[in-house]
Amino acid sequence: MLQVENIKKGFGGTKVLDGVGFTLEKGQVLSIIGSSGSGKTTLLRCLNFLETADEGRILLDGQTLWQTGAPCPPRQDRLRFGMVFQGFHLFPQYTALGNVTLAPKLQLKETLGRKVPLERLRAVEEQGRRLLAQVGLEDRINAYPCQLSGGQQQRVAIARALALAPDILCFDEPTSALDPELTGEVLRVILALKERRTTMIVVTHEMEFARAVSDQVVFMADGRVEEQGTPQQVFGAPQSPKTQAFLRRPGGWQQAL
Amino acid sequence: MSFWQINWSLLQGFGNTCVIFFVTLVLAVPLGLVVTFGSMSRFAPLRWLTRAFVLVIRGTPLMLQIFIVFYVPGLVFGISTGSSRMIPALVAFVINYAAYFSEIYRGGIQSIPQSQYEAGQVLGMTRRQVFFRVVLLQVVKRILPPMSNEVITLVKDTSLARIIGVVELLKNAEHFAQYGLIWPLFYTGLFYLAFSGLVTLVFRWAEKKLDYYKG
Amino acid sequence: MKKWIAALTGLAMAGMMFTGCGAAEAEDWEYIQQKGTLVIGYTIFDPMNYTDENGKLIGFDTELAEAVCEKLGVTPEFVEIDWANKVMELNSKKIDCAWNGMTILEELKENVDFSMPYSENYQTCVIRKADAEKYTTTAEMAGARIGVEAGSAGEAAVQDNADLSKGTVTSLTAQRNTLLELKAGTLDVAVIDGVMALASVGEGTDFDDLMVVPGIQLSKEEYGIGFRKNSPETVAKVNQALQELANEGKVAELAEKYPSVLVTLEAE
Repeated sequence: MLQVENIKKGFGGTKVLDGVGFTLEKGQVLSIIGSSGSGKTTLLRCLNFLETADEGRILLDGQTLWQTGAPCPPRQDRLRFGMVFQGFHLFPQYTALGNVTLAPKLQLKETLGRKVPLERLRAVEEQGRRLLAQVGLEDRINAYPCQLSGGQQQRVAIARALALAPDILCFDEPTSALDPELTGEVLRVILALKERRTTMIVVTHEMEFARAVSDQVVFMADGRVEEQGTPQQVFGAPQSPKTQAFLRRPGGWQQAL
Repeated sequence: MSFWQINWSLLQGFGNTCVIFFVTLVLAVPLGLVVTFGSMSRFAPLRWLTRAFVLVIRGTPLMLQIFIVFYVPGLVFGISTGSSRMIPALVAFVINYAAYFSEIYRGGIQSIPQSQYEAGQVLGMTRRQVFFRVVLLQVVKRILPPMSNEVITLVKDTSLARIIGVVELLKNAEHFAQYGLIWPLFYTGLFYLAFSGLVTLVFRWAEKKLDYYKG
Repeated sequence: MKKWIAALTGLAMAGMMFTGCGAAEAEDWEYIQQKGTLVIGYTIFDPMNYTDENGKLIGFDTELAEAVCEKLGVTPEFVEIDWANKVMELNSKKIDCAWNGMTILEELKENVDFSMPYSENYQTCVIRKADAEKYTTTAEMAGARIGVEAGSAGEAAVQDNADLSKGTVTSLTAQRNTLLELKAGTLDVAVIDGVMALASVGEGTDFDDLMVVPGIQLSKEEYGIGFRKNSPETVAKVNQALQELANEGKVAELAEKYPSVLVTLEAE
């Protein structure tokens, strides 16, 4: 179980996160919605330690990973979170398989020294193939990112994050950089991950998708959690005026259908 | 002297030209990276020191630097640095080119988006691993065109070594000119042209080799 | 860092301009003797230092230097330098002497120690043998048609000479052309290098009907060997070796081998 408590983060004089907290059960999916600038992305970055929060506490299975004043936690703790970026950020000079296996191979080299047994490397490659097959790219294993469509690239990025077997996989607007006709293939992969009971946090603008995939929805506004609950609660009967206004606006979830 | 004898003599000078070229390249390419790390260091005094060094080296003529390396130890400090003329020339060339290369590297490194570092970071890679496994090859691809420019300049700059008496191609040809045989002086242009052409081809090959990906 | 660099460069400049701030020590000779080589700076200058058809460095100065080094028990090492940098080369100990038909100039004596002069050069007057009686002094040439090479030492010598400057002076493109015109009768007097005049005119040359006017030596120059400033012992050793070579007849032998060199060093 993930517990996030009272996260605060400011850049210069601007307060971006002003005491955000939520809990997420293992195997569940949490969607974070809200307008641009509400702090959704910054929250994900704090969870992945790309930013260090100013205040707060992050606990995983009862163990404190980080709290106010502590430095960036060690790598094995950081790796309990995986991250899929809006812009994919694949490594252009590696093939799809290379992107997926690079980090696991480097870890093997670090733990076993220069001479990693061949079968261990083969096992990593096998796992990479399996993950790429899982995201539906078994036939594009040796393609370079520039040879793949945006949707395919994002699926490689998901496989890459999965290769390190994180406890919680975070998605930062995974379909925002995609043409509308390509979003479906990515969303289907995330749905399939839910079937496998992967714990996920998804920042998204796809309201219909959030409703379908989530066990819990958090609506953020101005660096705070404005409203949270099941999709039925948040989408069906929003309590806060801000949530109501957000869901009513043009380009809100009805239009995403 | 026959045409072929003169060619043979010029080729001997050209040998030294090649020594200056290759030694400078082999030493200045990695040294430039060290200078780059200095000029991008998070430790401010090191950064200022390195940037001042680059400013001085890029802001003064290579010819003057060759003079300083060659004459100053003896003139100012009374140190005898041996009778070699090639080694001081090489020292000046390596320092000069490392400074120029370092700025090309810096431009290349800074052009790589921060997101590549972040992608590596969330995959648990160390800064070192991200640099050498992810960023470096992308930097290499981006800096090939400006590097080819600089390396072709080096081909021709080798002729500056003659001012402290290193017998390279041009000095060899000047020798003939002093006996009234002028054409070898102009003929050396063909050597430089052929050498630069070869360098161009090598860089074109390398660019093609890295053409398999974009970004 | 910038200040430090500036200070160093400044120091270097000062060193180059004011030469020898501590660079030339009193024990110059010990230094040379210790390393066992005398590094000799030269440029290609026929007949002093030049290469034969096999690429071997020969010439009057080359052979004289080799003989001197043999006497001193050191190995000569010849380095072709940029003549403009000779003082810097000396003071930075890149070379031990500049030996290349070097004119002994007062201005240079501030920065360079010279050996005794061993040969000379001067501008001389060449006339047709037929005019031997007519032109014996410069005063007699005051009204003559005089030829010089444009921009040469000969041209300067004519301008500086009270008599010759009154003549009709024609500046030609090469010294040799003045001899051709003299032979053709379009000039009466040619003012050229003594070294060249002695080598080019008289019996057995293309200009056997021309002659050098005896006793006229204009803008005379002496050639010596340049050493680091404040190296009296080195200069003394080399002077002694030169004198011994003259006494043994070696210098005369070289003078015969390279007749265009106007050797002044004689046996005692």
